[in-house]
Amino acid sequence: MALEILVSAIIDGVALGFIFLLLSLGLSVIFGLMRIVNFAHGSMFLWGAYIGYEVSSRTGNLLAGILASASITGLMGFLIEYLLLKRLREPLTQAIITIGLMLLLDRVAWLRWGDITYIWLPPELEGTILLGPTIIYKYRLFVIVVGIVLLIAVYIFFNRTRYGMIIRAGIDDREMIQAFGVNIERVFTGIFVVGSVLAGVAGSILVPWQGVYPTLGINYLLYAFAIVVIGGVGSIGGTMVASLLAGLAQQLSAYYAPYLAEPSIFLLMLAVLMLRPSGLLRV
Amino acid sequence: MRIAWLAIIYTILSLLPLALESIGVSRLVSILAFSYIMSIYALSFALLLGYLGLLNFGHALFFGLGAYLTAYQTIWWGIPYVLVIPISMIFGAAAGFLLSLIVRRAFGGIPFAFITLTVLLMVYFLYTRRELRAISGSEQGLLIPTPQLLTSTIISYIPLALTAILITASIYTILRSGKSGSKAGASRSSIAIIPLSLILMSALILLIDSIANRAEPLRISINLYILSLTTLIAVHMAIKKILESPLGLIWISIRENESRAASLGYNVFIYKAIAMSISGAIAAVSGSLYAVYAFNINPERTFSPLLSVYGLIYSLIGGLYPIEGSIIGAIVVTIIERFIADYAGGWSLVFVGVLFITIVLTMPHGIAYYIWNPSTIKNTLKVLKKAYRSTPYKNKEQTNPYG
Repeated sequence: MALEILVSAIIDGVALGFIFLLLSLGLSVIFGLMRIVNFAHGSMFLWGAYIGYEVSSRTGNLLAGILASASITGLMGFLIEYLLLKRLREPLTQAIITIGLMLLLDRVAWLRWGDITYIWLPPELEGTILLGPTIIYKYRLFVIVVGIVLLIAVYIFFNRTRYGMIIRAGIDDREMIQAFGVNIERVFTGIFVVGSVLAGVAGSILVPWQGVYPTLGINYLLYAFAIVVIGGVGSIGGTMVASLLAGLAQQLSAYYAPYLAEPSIFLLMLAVLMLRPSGLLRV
Repeated sequence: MRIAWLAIIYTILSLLPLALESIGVSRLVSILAFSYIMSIYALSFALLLGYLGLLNFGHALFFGLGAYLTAYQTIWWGIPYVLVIPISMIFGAAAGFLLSLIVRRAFGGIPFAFITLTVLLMVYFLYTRRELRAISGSEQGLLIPTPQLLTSTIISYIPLALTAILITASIYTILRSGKSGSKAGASRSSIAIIPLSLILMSALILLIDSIANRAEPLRISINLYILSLTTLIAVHMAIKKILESPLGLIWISIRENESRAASLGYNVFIYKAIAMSISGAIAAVSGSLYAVYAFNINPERTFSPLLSVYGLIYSLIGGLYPIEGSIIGAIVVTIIERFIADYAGGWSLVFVGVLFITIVLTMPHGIAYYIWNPSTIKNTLKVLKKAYRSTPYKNKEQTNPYG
């Protein structure tokens, strides 16, 4: 009996971990490369979720929702970076700009959609699979599959392409890659857009599972901050490990000790930071 | 002499409720009182951020501690409010030291910001739990009875006593300078101070008289105004003194180059812990005042992570250097927010967000910078124009537009 619960807890944890990964990867790279504490990232997540819900519930197609939210959050990210952040390259001042954006975007979403929790599940992914005595939700399995595909894509992007190499080098030493003739401003814009797209996709994938409600953005932003710090600021591999750890920690505690579900990720962060202040994988 | 003029400004500010009432905006009195309370909080935040480079996202912890300690002391133990503030201060300082022990291994930068945020969130999650309703008040909050101090007229005797001291001090300086025939300038401003103080004194007596005849809510709000103003001035002067002392210089040297300060023989941890304790004590004072101001506190208002973020907003919109910037930032942001909330309803946060972005884009150095250097105001729009006209994809040289 205990084993079935453990198995479904682990599956849920891994699925949540992949959503965390999509959300916090962009945050981590923006953090590492541009030195921006991007408070607007949670709002991107929230808007991605709302747009994903609107489009996919109207067309009846999950993929359409994901694509729509990816393109719209990408556009939003581009506008934010091009019109606002690019004008002032000062970390703390940029933080204030993103705080302003967070207040603004979250409130506009609240004015449009209100306090209701929206949830929409594509009919073909509804229901469960029975694996012996274990109950597995189809949609969470789907999230894991999508997550693995995206994980491989991200790995190839960062380790096998020129752009990934520029980004990794930029996190290490910003001046040096400028000296090699890379236009860092263009890289900044690109990475901000990619981060926003990833956050939007993560939001639209979360909708069929947990629904979307007005405080979703700020809740998940705090989780993402915690994950980024656990993994080590700017460390891509660290963020991957930390996301899965955080997802597992949250779902396991949700199954076994529900009162720890909310603070579990922060407890994990506290433990990691006390032992290794620079994060799990940061050298 | 500077301190005498500061005292006069303080007295004039403490007379402001009378003027505001006579032109019929008595609501502004309580808004201003709130903005002074937030200024104290902003000062404690800016002290850490500006002089040690410590971005404390858990700063609301001290604020909430002060607020809840005030609630416990007044509700459960019945301690008079005069003692409540110092007791909360001691606990705030202790909490600051405890927090610095927790972050000992990562005392600075982003890890520091997030460990403190985590500690705050732990307390926040603990206090929002239903099981702890008895001590946290949950959503309804804890109701705090208004202390005796605020229903009497005692507080308004503080500025009165100050003017009396000013007059005696000025007379003393005049007599002394007359005897020794020293600096004439000093005695001239002393002569100017005496009639001014006398006028202010009579106005203050008028104020006390009018407070005594007021309905209770109005009396409380004026008293709270004077109390928070007095505390703000006292805290500000204390911080100024600390920053000018060797301790403040050591803090700055740690901010500039930590390893150098360490190799010169300063124990960096102890100095940072001292700063955390001082800042925690000050933030606890502001929380303590807030508890009386709001007379109903819940975890959502006191331990919220958003409050820590507001510390950052206050100090950056006002400007970190000089430290008075955070006071100006807190007052400006609070008043604007209250007014927008009155007129815009659900849209208020949208406007607040737009406002923050506009202020930061047009005045990147904070509002205080422009008050201290008025000649740069005309550059404000030029900075913005320059930022938007330049071709965005060039590697721009980072230059100070005001330099």
